[in-house]
Amino acid sequence: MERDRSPFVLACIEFARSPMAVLGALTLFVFVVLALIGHWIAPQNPYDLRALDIMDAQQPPGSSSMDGMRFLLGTDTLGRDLYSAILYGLRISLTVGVVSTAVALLIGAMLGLLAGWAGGWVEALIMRIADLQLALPAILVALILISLAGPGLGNVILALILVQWAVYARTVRSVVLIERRKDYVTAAVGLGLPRVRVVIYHVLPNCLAPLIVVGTVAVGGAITLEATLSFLGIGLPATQPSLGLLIANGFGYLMSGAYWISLFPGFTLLAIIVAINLVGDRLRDVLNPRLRR
Amino acid sequence: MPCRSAGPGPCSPSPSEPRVLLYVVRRLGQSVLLLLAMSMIVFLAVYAIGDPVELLVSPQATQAEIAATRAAFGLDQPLTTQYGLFLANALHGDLGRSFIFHEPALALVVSRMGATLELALSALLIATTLGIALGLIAALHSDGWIGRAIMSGSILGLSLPTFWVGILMLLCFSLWLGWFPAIGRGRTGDVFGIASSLFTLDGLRHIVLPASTLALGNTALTIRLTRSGAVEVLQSEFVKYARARGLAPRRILMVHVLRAVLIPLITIVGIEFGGLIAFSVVTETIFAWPGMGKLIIDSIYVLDRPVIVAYLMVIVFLFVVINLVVDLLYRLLDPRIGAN
Amino acid sequence: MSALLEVRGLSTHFTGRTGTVRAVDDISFSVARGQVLGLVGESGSGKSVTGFSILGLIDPPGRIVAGQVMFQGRNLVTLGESALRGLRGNRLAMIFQDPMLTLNPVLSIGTQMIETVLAHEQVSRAEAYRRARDSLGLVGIPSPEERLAAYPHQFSGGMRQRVAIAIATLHRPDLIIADEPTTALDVTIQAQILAEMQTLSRDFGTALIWITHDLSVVAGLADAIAVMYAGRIVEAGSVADVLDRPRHPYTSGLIGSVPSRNQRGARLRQIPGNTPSLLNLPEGCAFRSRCSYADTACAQNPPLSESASGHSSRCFHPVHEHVG
Repeated sequence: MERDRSPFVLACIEFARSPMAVLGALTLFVFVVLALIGHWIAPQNPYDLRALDIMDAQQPPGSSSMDGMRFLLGTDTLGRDLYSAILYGLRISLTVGVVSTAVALLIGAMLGLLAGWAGGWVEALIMRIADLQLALPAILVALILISLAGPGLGNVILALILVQWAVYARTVRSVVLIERRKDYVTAAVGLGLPRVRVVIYHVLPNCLAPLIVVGTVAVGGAITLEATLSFLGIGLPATQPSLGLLIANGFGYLMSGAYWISLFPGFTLLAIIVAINLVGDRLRDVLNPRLRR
Repeated sequence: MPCRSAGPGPCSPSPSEPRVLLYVVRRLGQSVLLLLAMSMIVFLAVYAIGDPVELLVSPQATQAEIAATRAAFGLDQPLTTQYGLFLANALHGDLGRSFIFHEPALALVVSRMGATLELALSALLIATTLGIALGLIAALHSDGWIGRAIMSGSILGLSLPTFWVGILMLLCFSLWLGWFPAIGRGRTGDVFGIASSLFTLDGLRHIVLPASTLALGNTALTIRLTRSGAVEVLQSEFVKYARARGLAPRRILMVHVLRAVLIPLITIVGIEFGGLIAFSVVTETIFAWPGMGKLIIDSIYVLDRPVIVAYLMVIVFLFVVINLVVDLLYRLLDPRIGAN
Repeated sequence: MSALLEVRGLSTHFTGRTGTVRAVDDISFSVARGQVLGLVGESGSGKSVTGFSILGLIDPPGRIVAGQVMFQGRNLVTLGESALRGLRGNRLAMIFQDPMLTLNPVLSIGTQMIETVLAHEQVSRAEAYRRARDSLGLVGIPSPEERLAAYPHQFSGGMRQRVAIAIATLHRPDLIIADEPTTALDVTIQAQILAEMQTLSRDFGTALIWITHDLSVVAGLADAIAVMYAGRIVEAGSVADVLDRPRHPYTSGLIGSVPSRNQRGARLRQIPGNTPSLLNLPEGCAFRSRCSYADTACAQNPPLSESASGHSSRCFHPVHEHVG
C-alpha cells in the first residue's frame, strides 16, 4: 500500500520515473565517489613535483611515460597525468560548490525566516538588499567582490555565498508568509509555545522542499561560477587547482594542438553540471506541491 | 502613450502624459540613489580593505609623493569628508589615473566600452532573434519532436558554462575548421564617427564567434520564456477570437501572439543585456577582444585600482541606464499600463 | 424556408487520459435565414462547444467524431481549413462572452477591426478604415473615429460588447453565433444590446444562434429554442411551444426557476442536485438522477418524439401539465 510508505520513499519512487534524472543521479554519485576516493585511486599525486617528469610533458591521451606509466587522458605541460589532476580537481570544485551553497543556504534561510517572521523594517531592509543583489548578474557581483578584495579561496567562497543567499532568503520568506497565516501556526502560538520553537518545528520543515530544489540547481551554478572565475585567473590560486583552473592552464596550448589539456577537465565539468541540472529539474517536478496531484 | 492611430483618424494627446513624466522623474531619482549607494560601497570597500592612497598613487611612488597625495586628497580628513571628495571628483569624471597606462582611468574604461557594447549588442541581437524564432516554433510544435528537441537543446544551453562554450567554439570553428579568426577585433570601420567592427567584413568575421558564445545562454533563456509565453497566449481567448474572425495563421502568430509575448519579454531581454555586458568579461578573455571586460581582468591581475573603481562605477551606471530604458520602453509598449 | 444551417448528428468528444468527455453528443438542429435560435443550457451542457464545433474551432484533445454541419450547402466538418477560414468572420461570425478577454489587449480597436476587413476582402486600408468606422457608428458608438484609436481597456463593458458586434457585422454575415454575449453586463445594458442585435438581425437578414443559460433572454429574442443538457438536445421547438408547453422535466424545471411577475411572492423552484460529470457518462437519460419522474426505463436512451408543429423532446415521461 502506498499509504504505508514515507513521503521520502514516495518521492524517490516518483523521482525514478524519469530515466534521464536517474542517469543524472547516477553520474553525480559516481563523481562524488571519485572526488572522495580520488586521492587513493589516482595513478600519481599530480602536485608532488618529484612524481612529475618534464620529459612526459604534453603527451597525448593513451601514451606511456618513461617508467611505463600509462597516461589515460594525456599529460599537461609539466608532464602531469591529467586523469590524476582531474580527480584532484573534482574534489576541489565539488567542495567549493557544496560548501558555499550550504553556507549561503543557511545564511539565506535564516535571513528569510527573520524577514518573514519579524516583518516591518527588518523585512523591508533584508528584502530590498536581496532585490538589489538579484538585479545584478552573479558574475558581476562576484567580479565586484573579487576586484575589491582580490582573488583567493576565501574570497571566491565569499563571492559564491554573496551571489546565492538572496535566492534562499526570498524562497524561505515566501513560505513563511504563507505558513504563518495558517491555523496550526496561530494555534501553536496561541498555545503559548515559544516563537522560536514554532518557527523551527512548524515553519522550517515546510521550507525544506523548495530549499532542496533551489539548492541543488544552485550547486551547479556555484561550481560553474567558481570555474569561470578560476578560468579568468581571478578565482582559486594555483595551489588549489579546480577544474576551471585546469581548463585555464590548457587554454594557452589549444593553439599548439594539445587540445586534451583543456578538453578533458572541461567535459568533466560539463558532465557534473548537466547531471546536477537533470537531478534538480526532476526534484522540482517531484517536490513542487503545486504540481503534485 | 504612443499614438498608433489605426488610420487617418485624429490622435488626441494622451491624458496620462503628466503622469508618465512624474514616473520618469521618480525613476530617475531612484537611479541616482542606486548610483550613490554603489559609489558608497565601492568607496567603503576600497577604504576598508586597504589604504585609499593606493587608489591614487602607483605602487612605485616615493614616500614624499604618497604624503603629498594624502594631503591633496584630504585622506587625513574624517571618512565622510573623504567620501564627499571622492564623489565630487567622480562627478568631474576624475577617478584617478591608471598606473599602467598613465591615463585617466575613467577615460580608459570608456574608450574600451565601444568594443564591449558592440559585442553585447550583437549577442543580444542573436539571442533575441534566434530565441524568439525557436521559442515560437517550440510552442507551435510543443508535442512534436521539433519542440522537444528545441527544449532539450535549451536546457543544455543553460547548463553550459560560457567559457567552456567559447573554448569549444574556438577549437571547432577557428582551429579545426578555420572558418573564423580566433582572436582580436579585426579591422574597425567608422560610421558617424563611431568605430566598430560591425562596419567591416573583417570585423564581422571576428565578432561571429565571441558574439555567438556570449549569446548562447541568453538564447536558451529566450527560447524558454518565449515558448512558455506563447503556449499560454496560443490558448488564450483572444487567439481563439482572432481565429473566429478568419484571420490567417501568419497574422495571428506574427501580430497577436508575438506582440503579447514580446511585451513581457522586453523586461527580461533588457536585464539580459546587462548580464551580457557583465559576461563579456569571459568572452573577451577567451577571444582577446579588446573591451572593458578584458581591461578589468588585466587590471585585477596588476592591481590597477583606479581602473577597477572606474570600471565598477561605469558598469553600475550602465545597469542603471539599461533598467531605466527598459522600464520606460515597457510602459510605452503596453497600452494597459498607465490606464489605471 | 430552406435551412441556412443544418446540424445533423453532431458529436464532439474530448479524449483525455482519464476518459472521454462527450461534450456534444449526437445533436441535430437547423436555423433558417434570418431566424433566431436560442440555445439554452447550464454551463457545461455543451452549448459553447456546439458553437465552436460549427466554426471548426475545436482544438485537441477535442474532436468532432461524427455528424455534419451543412452551411449553405457545404459540410463544414469536412471543409478544408483555408476554406473554413474564408467563412469565419465573413459569412459566419462569432461573439464571445467577454470581449475584455477576446479582444487583444495590446492592439487598438481600429487595428483589430481593419485586420478583420482585410482578412476577407481585397480593399485598401483607407476603405477598410472607413468600413470599420461606419460599423462602429452603426452599433451606436459615439465618435467612432476617436474610438478606433483606443484600446479595449479604455471601453466600458457594454461598449466593448458593441465593438464585438460591430466586428461581427463587418461583412454582413449570414449567421452570427453569440456565446452568452450579455451575461457579463448590467441588466439595462443587456436590454440595449439585445435590442441592437434584433435590429441588426432584422435589417440584414442575419440568422442568430444565441447561446445562453438565461431563458428570459431568449424568451423575448428568439424564434426557436433548443434546450441542451449534458451534451444532448433534450427539447426543441418554437419559443411558444417550448416555453408554454414544455415536455421535458428539465425544461419545465428551468422555466420554474425563472423569477417572473406572475409568481410574485411565490417561492422559486429549483432543480435538485447538480449537473452530472460528463466524464464517462453512462447510457440513458442524463437527467434521471435529478428527475422526479425517473424510473427504470430512463436507463435507456429516450428516443426523439416529435409533434406535427416541430416540437421535439427526448423523454419517456414527458410533462403534460402546463407551467405558468
